[in-house]
Amino acid sequence: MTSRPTKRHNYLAEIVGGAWSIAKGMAVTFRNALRRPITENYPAQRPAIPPAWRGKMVHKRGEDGRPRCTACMACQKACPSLAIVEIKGDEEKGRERRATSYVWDASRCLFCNQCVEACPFDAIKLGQEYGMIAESRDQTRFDLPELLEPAEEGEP
Amino acid sequence: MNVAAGIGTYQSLLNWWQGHGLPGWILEAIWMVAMAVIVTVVILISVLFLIWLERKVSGDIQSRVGPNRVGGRFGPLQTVADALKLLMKEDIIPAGADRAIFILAPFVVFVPTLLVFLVVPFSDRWIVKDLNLGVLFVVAVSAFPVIGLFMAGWASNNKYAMLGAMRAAAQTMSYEIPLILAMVCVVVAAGSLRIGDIVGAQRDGHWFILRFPLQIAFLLYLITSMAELKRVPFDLPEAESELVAGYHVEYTGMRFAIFFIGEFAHLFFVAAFCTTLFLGAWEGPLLPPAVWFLVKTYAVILVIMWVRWTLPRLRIDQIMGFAWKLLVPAALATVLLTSLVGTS
Amino acid sequence: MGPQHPSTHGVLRLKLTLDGEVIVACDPVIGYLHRGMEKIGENRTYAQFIPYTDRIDYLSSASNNEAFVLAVERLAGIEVPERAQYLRVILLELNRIASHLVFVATFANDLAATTAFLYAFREREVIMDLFEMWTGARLTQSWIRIGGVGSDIPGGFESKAREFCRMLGPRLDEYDALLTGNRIFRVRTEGIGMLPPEEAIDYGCSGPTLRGSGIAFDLRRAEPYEVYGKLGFEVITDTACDCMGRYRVRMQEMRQSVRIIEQCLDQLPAGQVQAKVSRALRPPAGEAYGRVESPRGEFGCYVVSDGGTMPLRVRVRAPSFYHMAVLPEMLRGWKVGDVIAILGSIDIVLGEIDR
Repeated sequence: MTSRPTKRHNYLAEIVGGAWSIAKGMAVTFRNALRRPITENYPAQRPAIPPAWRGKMVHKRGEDGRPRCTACMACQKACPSLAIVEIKGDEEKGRERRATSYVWDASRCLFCNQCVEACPFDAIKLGQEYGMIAESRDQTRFDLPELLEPAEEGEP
Repeated sequence: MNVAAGIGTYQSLLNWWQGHGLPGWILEAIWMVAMAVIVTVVILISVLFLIWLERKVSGDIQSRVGPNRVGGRFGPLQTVADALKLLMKEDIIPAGADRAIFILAPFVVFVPTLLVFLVVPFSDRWIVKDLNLGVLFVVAVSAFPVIGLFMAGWASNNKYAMLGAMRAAAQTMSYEIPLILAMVCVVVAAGSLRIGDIVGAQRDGHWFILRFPLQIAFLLYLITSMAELKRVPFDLPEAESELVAGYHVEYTGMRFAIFFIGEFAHLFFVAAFCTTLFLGAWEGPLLPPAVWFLVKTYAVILVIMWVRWTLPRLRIDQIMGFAWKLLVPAALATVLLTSLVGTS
Repeated sequence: MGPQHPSTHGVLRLKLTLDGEVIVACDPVIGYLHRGMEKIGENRTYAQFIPYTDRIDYLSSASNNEAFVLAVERLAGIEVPERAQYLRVILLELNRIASHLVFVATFANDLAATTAFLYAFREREVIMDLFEMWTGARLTQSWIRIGGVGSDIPGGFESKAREFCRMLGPRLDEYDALLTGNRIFRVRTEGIGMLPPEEAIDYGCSGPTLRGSGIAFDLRRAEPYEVYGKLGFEVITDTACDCMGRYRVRMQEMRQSVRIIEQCLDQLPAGQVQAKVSRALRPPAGEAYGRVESPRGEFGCYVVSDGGTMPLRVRVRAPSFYHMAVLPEMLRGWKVGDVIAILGSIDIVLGEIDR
């Protein structure tokens, strides 16, 4: 409380000051009420996803239409959370080898990009898809056919 | 253009009735029941609309859209959906609770809120009963819900609900005093407790809010009503984010819905009564009186909602301090000023 | 006061001893969010551990990355290119603004000013969009890597960032009109939860909690890292020692962060954004401590290396842990209704307390 002699004067000043501060606050809310809402009406309106977005893993295709992945396991070694479960390749060696199976577990993935940066062949990327829904644990694992990006026109 | 015309309808009906040799009391009974049903239905529909309005207004203020799915782009049937959901919830009565009081408490809170609509003039010819003691009736009946709060807290067999109920009761009772004093200012200015006279004294645009010092009474009425409604900034009794749970914490489903509907019905009443006392009730050019009444009432409601979404909450001791140290002296001073200055 | 909080501080349990309405003692119970971060650190390579550091103080993940990466770079003697340093500062300051906006939002929400909560999150969405555009993730970016940053800023980032900086000032003024000057807000926060400066120092407080008690200690000035030495900004203090003081410090810090970001964008040199660092980095045996000024205070990472690819020990010094320790002192003598305000004003994150 304020000191005695100025108490009455401060009392009134406090009331007026308090009321004025409340009025200023109400002016702010009023101004904002007139602005358009920023809500995006999902799912009718979808957000614009930038190209850098790290979503569902996508396997890129090479010039010949085959996946670039050579099953070198560099991504699996780089992954912090054991999200790349199993990689199998064909009988070829070195650069000629191609992956035949690549199981990625979305429920373990941190989407941290370590695998993408570790890959020496630029075979994978974390793509634009954000809406991965699974109704049971086994639906969180994806194999190569689901992860491979769609083929170009006229490719095999 | 006066309130007696409403009574005129009943009178003419009574004459016709007695003209056919039927006893008057049967008509009275039918009339009462009909009035009760009409008032309840009107209030319930208004409450449905009000809950939707609150959500839409809060959405606008907060840069978002309110309900927009149920019943079309503006979601008008959202409240209906919520009410249906509440109906389907399991009805739990806590073990060790006082069953009779537990079941009765929501109604003790809700019914007086319906009862006060007896004296609200929706239009120049639509007032259920223009009691000679209109304002006193409102004051008396408005005191009942406090008992209901206490019953709810006590019967819940939950020490936190009890604490919450005690706080709610203390807050409600403390704010009743400046509320009543604000109403007294209007009574002094109009010279009568009768609603018809109060509206009559504001005829031809001489609304009480334009008369000094009734502006202060208007502000007092609004602030104390917000505290009675337990809305922010006075919503500590209901605020679950503080330590103590609210007084209605043990209530589920439809019982809780009754508290909730009661709160919004009370909001509608507060705004309607405010229009009656200060804004000239149904007076206004061109449009029919009932429309003007609703327009003014909803303007007051929008202001109350606006305040709710702007301000933070006060602590319980600050709420009590505000009532006793600021509002009661201010209300007393306004009554004094009104009797010196503002009589008609 | 149980682990489930309507306010978003995290899972914290406070055992309060009351005398009527007044708090006599407080015993915080933590550990509900313990995830074994430090143990995980012993079983991951240095590069692999970075995404884990993000999740320690999830509201400002870049600061966590930075502390760990500083320690590792000191151990291994890695030089970070200058452009990368500027980009790191931009990321750190954007994280600071985002974290302080969450503080304003949750603090206001605890006091029932729900509208301010939504306004602050609306502003934060713009920052999230900036992160998305650059790093690809909204909250846990893990974009500060050993030797640099994950990628360069894309075209269009600079203009959007400058627009954000321009937009934030007037919005902060709106918050001032809505909250700071508001009588009810002031009555709930002024004089509440006093923290005397000596006690703050004794308990090891840092960041806005310390600066809100009048002590001008900011790691960005005291021990400049990255390019903070070249940037002009003020260290904000407030002598009030109460909840309002700490709130004001954070509000002003947001404005300073805007200044820093604009300076960085102006001074951004050309160059690489990542030094050449082996994925299987083996720093020489030794120990290093990297500390940064996170939005909550001094966030430190003590790393011990035995020469292998995985650290021998990673110890995280979380500022909220020490603020939690001083909380019982701050709560004593106040009413139950003030607990929320005081707890909100020290801005703790359970993720870093429990790790």
